[in-house]
Amino acid sequence: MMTKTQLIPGEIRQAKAIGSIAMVFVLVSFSMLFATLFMGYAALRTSAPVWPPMGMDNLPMLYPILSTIFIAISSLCWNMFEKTLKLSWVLATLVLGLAFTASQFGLWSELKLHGILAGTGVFASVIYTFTWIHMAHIAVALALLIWPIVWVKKEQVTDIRAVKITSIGKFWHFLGIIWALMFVTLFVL
Amino acid sequence: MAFFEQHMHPVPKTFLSKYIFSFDHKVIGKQFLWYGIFFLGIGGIMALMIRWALAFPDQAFPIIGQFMFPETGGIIPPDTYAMLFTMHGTIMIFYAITPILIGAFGNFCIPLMIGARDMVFPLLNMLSFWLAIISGLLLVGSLFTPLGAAAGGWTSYPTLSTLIGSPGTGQTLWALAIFVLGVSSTMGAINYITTIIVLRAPGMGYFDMPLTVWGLWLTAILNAIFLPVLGAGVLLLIFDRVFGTQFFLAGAAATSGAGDPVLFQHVFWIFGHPEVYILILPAWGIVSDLLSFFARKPAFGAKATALSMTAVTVLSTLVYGHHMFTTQMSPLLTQSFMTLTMTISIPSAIFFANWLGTIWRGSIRFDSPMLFSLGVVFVFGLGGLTGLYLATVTTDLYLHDTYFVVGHFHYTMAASVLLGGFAAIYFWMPKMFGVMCNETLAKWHFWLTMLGLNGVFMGMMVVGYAGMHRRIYNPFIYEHLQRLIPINEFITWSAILMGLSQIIFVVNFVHTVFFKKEKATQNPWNVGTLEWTIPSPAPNYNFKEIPVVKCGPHEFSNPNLTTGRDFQYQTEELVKA
Repeated sequence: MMTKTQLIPGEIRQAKAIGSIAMVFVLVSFSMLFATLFMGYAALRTSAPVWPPMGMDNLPMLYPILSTIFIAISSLCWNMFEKTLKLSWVLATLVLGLAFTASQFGLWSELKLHGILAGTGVFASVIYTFTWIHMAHIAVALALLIWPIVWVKKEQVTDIRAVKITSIGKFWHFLGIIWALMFVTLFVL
Repeated sequence: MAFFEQHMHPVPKTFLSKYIFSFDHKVIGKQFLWYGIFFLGIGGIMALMIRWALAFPDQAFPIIGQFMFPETGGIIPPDTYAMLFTMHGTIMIFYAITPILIGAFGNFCIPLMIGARDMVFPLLNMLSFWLAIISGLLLVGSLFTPLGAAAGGWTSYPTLSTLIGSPGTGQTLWALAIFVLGVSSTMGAINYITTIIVLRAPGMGYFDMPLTVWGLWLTAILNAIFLPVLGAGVLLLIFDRVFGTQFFLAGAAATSGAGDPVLFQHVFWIFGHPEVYILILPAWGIVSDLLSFFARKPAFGAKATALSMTAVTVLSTLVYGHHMFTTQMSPLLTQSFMTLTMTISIPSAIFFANWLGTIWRGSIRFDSPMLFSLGVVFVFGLGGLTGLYLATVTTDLYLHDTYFVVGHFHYTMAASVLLGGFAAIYFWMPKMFGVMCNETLAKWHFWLTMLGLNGVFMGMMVVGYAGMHRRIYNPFIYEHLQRLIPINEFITWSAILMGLSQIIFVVNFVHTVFFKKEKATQNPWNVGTLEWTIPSPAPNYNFKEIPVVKCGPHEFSNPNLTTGRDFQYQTEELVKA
């Protein structure tokens, strides 16, 4: 592996290319995971006579909307971070990510108040499973954010680390897109 | 083309960094090989137990039966039988074939054959192996849970696999093990794909890669795309079992708004059909190369072989419905899936004809790797042809879930892959361990395995065609199956022969690896691919200087050669008249 910290311009281009090739396949894998969930959801929803099934309250919309706002702004913050490599932007991303996490917990407790638990039928199963799996990925992504924070704090952003930062960013944006799809298909429609 | 030149690894100093937590692709490959052979043994013993129960249902299993089933006096009980066929399938597919063909030879061959010093992400590679270990522990652990291991078949269809069908923790651990293994294989796959794209030696275009690398590459692509589908499926299954969600529950089991048990079958087979190609593609690649190496002829239509393997890869994603013809699918869909499935036979026939074209009028050397490769050609031909009967809706409705299916998929993904794996082991042994296996024992191993294997799987097709269903304990309580007792006994004796002949392999392998003094030469098979340009066993940095590739991998018997050899190394300019 490359151990040199600073690379010549040609090598930077190569490192970026390797990073993006690998990330394409990483994201394809994760997309297939979520695509399968969406496919299952589509199958269950289209075969149900009414949706949401009889006796179900409409979902509380406050927390999903908050989550959407948080994750959208966090993606923008990350973009600024990639451009400027300033600590404040990556910290903002982290804080907004944590806010997203908090609003997801809010959503779950709100659902619980309405008496919707994971075992109360396939409708609730879908909501919980999607949010759980998505949240697990968010948790991983938040853990990954620690590295850029440390690098920027110590002012040790090498070329190779800049490539890694781009890859983490792609994963973060990807999770934002997945959330947007979930928001539209689960909560709005 | 190489994007960059990797630095040489420092030589590992401690035992841990050399053999346990190694970043070296060759060591990780060997770790996967031992892992796979270990599980191959376990899965094989399970197969013998299944066969024993089908031939002598009321007799104690010899030797170990008394210890394992003391309450029945050594006879395999019905619930254990269900666990046995479930775990046999799971272990053989995910814990034996996958580690040996993809884990071991993928890791070992890819960097060596494309002229790289290691995989592009060595850390990811090591993590992939250790996740596989965790998964193996989960699976083995599930055997010792109070209600026993998973018993819903390797496909683990609901409702057999939900809490209704199997209340024990064994099934949950099974699903967890598969999920972890999926993560491990996906990590490996991303590593393989990227390595092949960015680390090919200068001058090596995609069609200059040996076909082994092609097979492993296509496998890795399928793995990266479709293992997450299974991951999502088993994750939902785990949620159903642990958190009480209701994706796969229907009817009275679901409280409001029913889930759908058949949904799991869709998810499973969207993954499951590519999976069978995931298993067979490396073997195809290896065989395509070895036939040319040992027939001393260029691989006939190597480009067409690579392209038709790619075509099979693409088509394999579109045919999964043929596993579900009996689930009341709309006839429109069954017809489409049937047509698409039949289409696969076109590219398959192309590379199969290429194999025959390769050995046609070659000066064949019948060394053990070649014998095993020819074995693959034979058993894959048989297995592939019997697939047509299962792809056709009308015949499949009769044959579905019979032993004909079992015979068919064992010929294609068990026998072919097993023989391909053995071919690879005997062939790359000198490069992996620096010693050659005993040729006489290897040939005995081949012939006895081949005899046993065909007895087993041909017999299975016969009893299946006669109407014997799979997965039933003691079929002979049914009157119409009682006449099949003699042929089932024959199958079991063949299985025992096949099982015993693997002892020859184990003895040969262990003796060669640990006790053989006589070192192998650098290029014992006289082959020109890049791994044979370096000493045996391969040094830890692989290539002192990154080689520059100037010709294809199969340049044999060129009449213009004046070097006294009948082959060219890939680093040599192609000799022209």
